[in-house]
Amino acid sequence: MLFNSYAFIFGFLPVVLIGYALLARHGGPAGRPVWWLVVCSTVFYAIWNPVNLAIILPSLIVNFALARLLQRRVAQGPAEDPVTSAILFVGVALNLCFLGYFKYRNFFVDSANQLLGQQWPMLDLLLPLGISFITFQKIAFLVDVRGGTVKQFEARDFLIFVAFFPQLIAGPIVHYREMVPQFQASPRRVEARDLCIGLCLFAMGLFKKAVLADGIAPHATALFAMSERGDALGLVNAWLGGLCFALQVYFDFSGYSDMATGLARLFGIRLPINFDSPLKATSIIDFWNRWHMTLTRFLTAYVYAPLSLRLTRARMVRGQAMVKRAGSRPAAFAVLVALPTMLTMFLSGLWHGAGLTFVLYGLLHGVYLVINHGWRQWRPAWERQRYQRLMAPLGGLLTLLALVFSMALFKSRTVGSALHMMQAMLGLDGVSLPLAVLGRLGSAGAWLQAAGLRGDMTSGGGFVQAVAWSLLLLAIATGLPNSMQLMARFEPALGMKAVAPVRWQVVLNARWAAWFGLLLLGGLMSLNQISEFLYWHF
Amino acid sequence: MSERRFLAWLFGVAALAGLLVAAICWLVDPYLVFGRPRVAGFNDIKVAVTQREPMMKAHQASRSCGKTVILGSSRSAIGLDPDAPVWPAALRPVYNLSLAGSNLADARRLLQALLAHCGPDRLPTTLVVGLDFESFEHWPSGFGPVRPQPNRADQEQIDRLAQLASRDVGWAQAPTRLWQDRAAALLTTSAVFDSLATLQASLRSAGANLLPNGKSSEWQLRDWTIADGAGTLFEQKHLLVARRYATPLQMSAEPGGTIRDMADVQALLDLAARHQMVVRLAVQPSHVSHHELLDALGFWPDFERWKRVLADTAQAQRQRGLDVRIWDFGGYEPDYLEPVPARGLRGKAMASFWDPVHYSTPLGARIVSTLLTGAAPGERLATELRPDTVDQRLAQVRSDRAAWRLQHPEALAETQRLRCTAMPCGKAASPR
Repeated sequence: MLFNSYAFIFGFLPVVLIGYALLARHGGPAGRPVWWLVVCSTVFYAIWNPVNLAIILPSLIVNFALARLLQRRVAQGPAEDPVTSAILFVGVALNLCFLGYFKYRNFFVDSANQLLGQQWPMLDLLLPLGISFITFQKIAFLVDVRGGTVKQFEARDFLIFVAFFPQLIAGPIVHYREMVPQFQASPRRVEARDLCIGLCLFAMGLFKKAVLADGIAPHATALFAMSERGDALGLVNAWLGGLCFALQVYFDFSGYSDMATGLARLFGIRLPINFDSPLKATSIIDFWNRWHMTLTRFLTAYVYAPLSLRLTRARMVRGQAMVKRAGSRPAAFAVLVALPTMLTMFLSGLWHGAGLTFVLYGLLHGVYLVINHGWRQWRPAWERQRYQRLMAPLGGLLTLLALVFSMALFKSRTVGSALHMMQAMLGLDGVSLPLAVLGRLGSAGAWLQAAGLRGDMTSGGGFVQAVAWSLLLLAIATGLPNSMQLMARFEPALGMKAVAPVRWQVVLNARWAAWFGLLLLGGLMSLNQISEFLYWHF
Repeated sequence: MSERRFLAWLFGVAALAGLLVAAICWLVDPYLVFGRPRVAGFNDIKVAVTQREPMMKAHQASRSCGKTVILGSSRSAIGLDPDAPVWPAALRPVYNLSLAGSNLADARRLLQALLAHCGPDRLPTTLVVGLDFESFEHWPSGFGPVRPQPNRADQEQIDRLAQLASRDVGWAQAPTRLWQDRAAALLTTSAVFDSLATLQASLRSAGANLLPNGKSSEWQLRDWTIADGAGTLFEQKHLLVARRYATPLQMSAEPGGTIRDMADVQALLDLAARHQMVVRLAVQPSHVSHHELLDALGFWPDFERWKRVLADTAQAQRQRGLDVRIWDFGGYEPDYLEPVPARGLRGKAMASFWDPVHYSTPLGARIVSTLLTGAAPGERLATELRPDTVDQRLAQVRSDRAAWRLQHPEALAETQRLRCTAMPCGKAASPR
């Protein structure tokens, strides 16, 4: 069941909300409303395909049992107990094998077949929905129990942490310690204020997804289809295709995150912030601090930081140079910054999908980040204000271009078509505009043709629409405050301190109610052509 | 403001705005779902036909049980005018049920639904069918690399036709579909935008349009010709054709085998025979440059074989009592040789063609005349295909082609240039 479907909005959600409100109002055991959410979340997950549940449920039981074991050993044993570490290792390995089997088995077999010339069979495996998100949360939970961050937990707490339906399929990726205390707080009831805030967030998310992301999607698809067919795209169309897709992914996933945050808030639960206007980023480091923030947080906490720490200790033991704020030695930078960054981004790419294009996407962003970190190390020592004045817009433009360039890998189904797209972006296909557009530009069109711009036979109407959509969405993404900033007064999500305040903030008055009413209507009226969220595949 | 009042305002505004939107969409009726009257300057230009033709045709046809029905693709939708004077009074009213991008299987499903809807008292008596050789060519199963995915409108058409065919019912008897269409026409963003586009186009009296008789208007093609020039439209279409036909398309699973879609012709004729209709089939005309490109891409043998099998199929049906005749407009007759204005020359429309395959209404009227009354004296437009005439006809087309090529040696280079945009120039196209 999709969030952007009539069945969910007018069927599932009201039933869950009314049931929750009734259970909360009529007293009884404090955990009953939470059990209700667990049951409804299970139904939500199983309704896609009950086999999904049959696959995920055993893994949840195993994780819970391992967590219990860890909990006991941590409570009784010394901090560095090798058995406890071994249990954690087994738990993490089991989760990774579970993920690897369902998501990556065929990718690895196919790659091995191609490399070794073998014919090992591929399996027709069902990929359980949201398996990457669920697995990451389970691993984080085991690590937190091992680290002593999570000391007490019940089956109900564990289940609601993993299965809470607003964030079950595509995140945000949450920590046990930030979620479960909210569910444990009593009394649980549906508050009118939470309904207002949740509904506003949901309306914004629905509008972003159903109107904006789905509106630009056909243009991205059409331009990438040209690349897949091997048609000559030309520089302009290639960048336009990349930009359309970057905007589609942004509005799709940030729309989903807003909807998830809004849905959770209907039940009085705050999810962590997941997007903070990433297209306003002034560097690629800044971008990853604003884009899919909970994934960045997870990878930083569980991959980058431990690896970097281990490497730092090893160098310290050997008495080798460390990384400084600026002007570090290249060897120290390579080992302590570049290596962990590349490895983390490799995993980030692989997490996004079982394909070489996703791996290359991750590695490309790894290279971007290394360059960005390198620049911070060895850039000229300019006066700070002047530097900011120059680099904020320039860095923003560079970041956007780098992101759009990488979309060729993120969207393309094969490395060949991605390379074709990238070649076109580099101008190797030449520079052209639709002949129909050039013809309508009058003397400017003639001048452009005289200057060497070719006319091509792609659709002029399609080109104009793609440009119009791109400009509109880019203006919204870079010129307007984001949903979290607008709702900042109500602390809509966890981690709001990182969000810069803005002048326009929602207050509960008739004018804002009208705006959100129109957004909700716009979103609902666009649901006749239901499309899946892009990140539900990950 | 209290939270409760805020929620009341939010839902109230959404409901009121929804009502307003629904009222506008109902008045404008962009998809013809509600049968609202067309008011000139307000809602008479139904521009949504470019995206929503299946839905619009389905609802329009449910109010148009004509004596004659035209079936076919966008070529007959644009070229064959039900209001042309050539239609005899006995065959009127005529309704054009052609659907862009459709094939004969789709046409049969549409007709089936129309027959079910109109009932035995209002059955059409005559069927005019435009045949496209191109729709008989398919990719072999398993061929995937460049197969385009159907777009939303195509998908909707496929779904709609499949649903109608599976239940063998008219539109009125498909209540779920009807309510879905009403909802889609009242309360969707696309209905709002299409209503606004309808209002704008009606004010300007310009744009694509689905006329009350089912014909697609030529206005959009005329506008494109004025803005881009016929040469550009031809080039654009040729490039699309070259790209499509450079792929391994085939009519039958093995060379010379049974033509897959001929079963659809058979099924359509069977349906017509069951309802005692008169059937006139037309191999639709194309511009000479289109035929030259098909030949350069290796499809001429397939084209000739297709005509032979059509002639045999029609003959077999005649022997079973069906009044069916088939005319071949797919030759090198003078009307199809009209010179194309140079690329970049804007505003100059051609007499007979808008692009290599879409012909104009005046040519369409002459096609109808030929189909209904036979070739007029002195008019060279088509030849009737029968088993005893088909060889002669094919030879005549080849002879006309050779004569034309002698007179237009420059055309060979142009055709080769187009072919080379889709396949390596050195590689000879293998005959299909």
